[in-house]
Amino acid sequence: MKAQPITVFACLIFLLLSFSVWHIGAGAVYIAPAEIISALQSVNSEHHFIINNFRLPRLLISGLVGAALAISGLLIQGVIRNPLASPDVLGVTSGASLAVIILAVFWPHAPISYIPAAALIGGFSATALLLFLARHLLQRPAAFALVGIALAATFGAAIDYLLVVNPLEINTAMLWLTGSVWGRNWQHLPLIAPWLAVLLPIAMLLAYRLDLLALGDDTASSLGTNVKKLRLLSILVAISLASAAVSVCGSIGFVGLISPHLVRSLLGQRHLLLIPATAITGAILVISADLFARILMPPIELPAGILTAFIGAPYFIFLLCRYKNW
Amino acid sequence: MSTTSPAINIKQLDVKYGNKQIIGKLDLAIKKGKITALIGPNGCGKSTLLKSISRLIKPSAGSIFLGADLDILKCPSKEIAKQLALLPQVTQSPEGITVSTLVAFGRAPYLNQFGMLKAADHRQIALAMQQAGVSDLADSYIDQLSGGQLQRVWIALVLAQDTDILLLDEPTTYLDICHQFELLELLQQLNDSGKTIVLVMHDLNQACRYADELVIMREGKIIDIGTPQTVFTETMLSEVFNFDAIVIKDPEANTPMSIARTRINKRSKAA
Repeated sequence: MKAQPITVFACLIFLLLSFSVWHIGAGAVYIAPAEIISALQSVNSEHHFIINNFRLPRLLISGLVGAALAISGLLIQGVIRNPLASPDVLGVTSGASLAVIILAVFWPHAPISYIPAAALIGGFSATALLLFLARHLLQRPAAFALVGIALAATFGAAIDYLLVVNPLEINTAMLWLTGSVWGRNWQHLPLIAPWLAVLLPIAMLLAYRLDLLALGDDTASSLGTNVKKLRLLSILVAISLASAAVSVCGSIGFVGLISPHLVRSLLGQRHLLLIPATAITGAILVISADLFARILMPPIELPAGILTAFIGAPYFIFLLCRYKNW
Repeated sequence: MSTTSPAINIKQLDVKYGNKQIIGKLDLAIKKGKITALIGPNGCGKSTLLKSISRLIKPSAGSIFLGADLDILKCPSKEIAKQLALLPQVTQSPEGITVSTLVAFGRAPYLNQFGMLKAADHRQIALAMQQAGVSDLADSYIDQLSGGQLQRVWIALVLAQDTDILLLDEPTTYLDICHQFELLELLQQLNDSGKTIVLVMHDLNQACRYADELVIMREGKIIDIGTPQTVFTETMLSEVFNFDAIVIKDPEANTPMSIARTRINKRSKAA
């Protein structure tokens, strides 16, 4: 019934490489795939500067952000057993965004390294608030998601308010908020890469126990799993990844929702396979969204988050309609 | 160890939900190699007792030992999971996995972080499926099974756990009558092969037929304990269950069984 894992991974990696090459090549200056390789190898190549300073960091950041959001969504869906959950639907990313905007408004000259801290605090506060408000709704996925959506709307309103009453550089803030990887360079890579380097292996270590959790709390704990600890640790990992992604390029919606669904339909339920496959899928989604955002109507560059929302929102509505266990 | 040493020994157990006392100062020794049924009216604490033994609920006081001196509240969960398996009343089967994949999860207490199965685990899984009578279904998907098949697959999962003790919370509740008896016969076979079985049951006549020991509970206390022949009486039914019944001999199994008395007003209606 399910595809062979090796085939799925081969296809995903092929897609990732293809979109990466296209992503680097596309733009005001077109660079052919063969030239990309030579430009990467030689400093003297004519395109070395463009690739190394603009397109490569932007590609890497798109990929890493996508991977972080996707794993975050997979963990959240698994841990609260809610197929409608993801960091953006539940308001985690808006909470992180709000915190970053607050930092930007009240402390405009804060060093860039404060942004992830603000995003993390925002993400965790939003999660804590959600878990408190919806503590009786954990068994009702759609109702739980609704509380998250309402929270996200509230945070969104607070962000709008702050932007309207504070004459800061609204353009930049707007770009960041709609989830854009525009103008991202090597300086932004440390905001996301170390998080993934640490949290991805932790997620892999939790994988088998997440499989057990899918059998229900009672069975998981009678099989020797500490369910509370597992849930807490997984949520910590998920929120950290989502907040780190927000700190780099605002909230790119629906990647965390769609990627796990896509991969589950291909690979089944084993988290040891799901985690890496979901990460690659998330990377492909954000890289391709950023690519199409650039090439659909040049010279205008749309934020990638607008494109993911175009695909993601209808899919979310589809899930809501199909989902029976209110 | 002497032959009289109990499989599970519960001492002075107190369990509370918030401020509400569910079980108070309960002592109970569950005999090794027997089928013990916990019975009692709704809210008597029988499910709570089973959940406490399986560590799903933390008692507020008291202790629970496996064998003579293994304290389940102090021992690592994985070690307890090698001695004691639980089949919850409501089970959750993930979509799109095969029977053998589901049963393999029963090996979890013996596996490393990544859940890699070794040859010995595969043998144990095959044996468990054979004992539960689901070997033919090994490659079927969970979603395609009937209720009776699914429940036997879950029995295979707890058998793969390779424990001496099986705890089952109302295992027949969602089954139709023929699958109920099929499951109880299976439990009896497992008991014959040496497993200690503790289960919560609603059907009193089935409890009498299949259990060696009845533990009768009301309001968080044990009212009586013993073989069905000694404790299953008309007085007990009326006092504990508020159930007006006569007790006769089950013509098939010779165990006691209850038959409700007809109320007089009902009879006059029929007339």
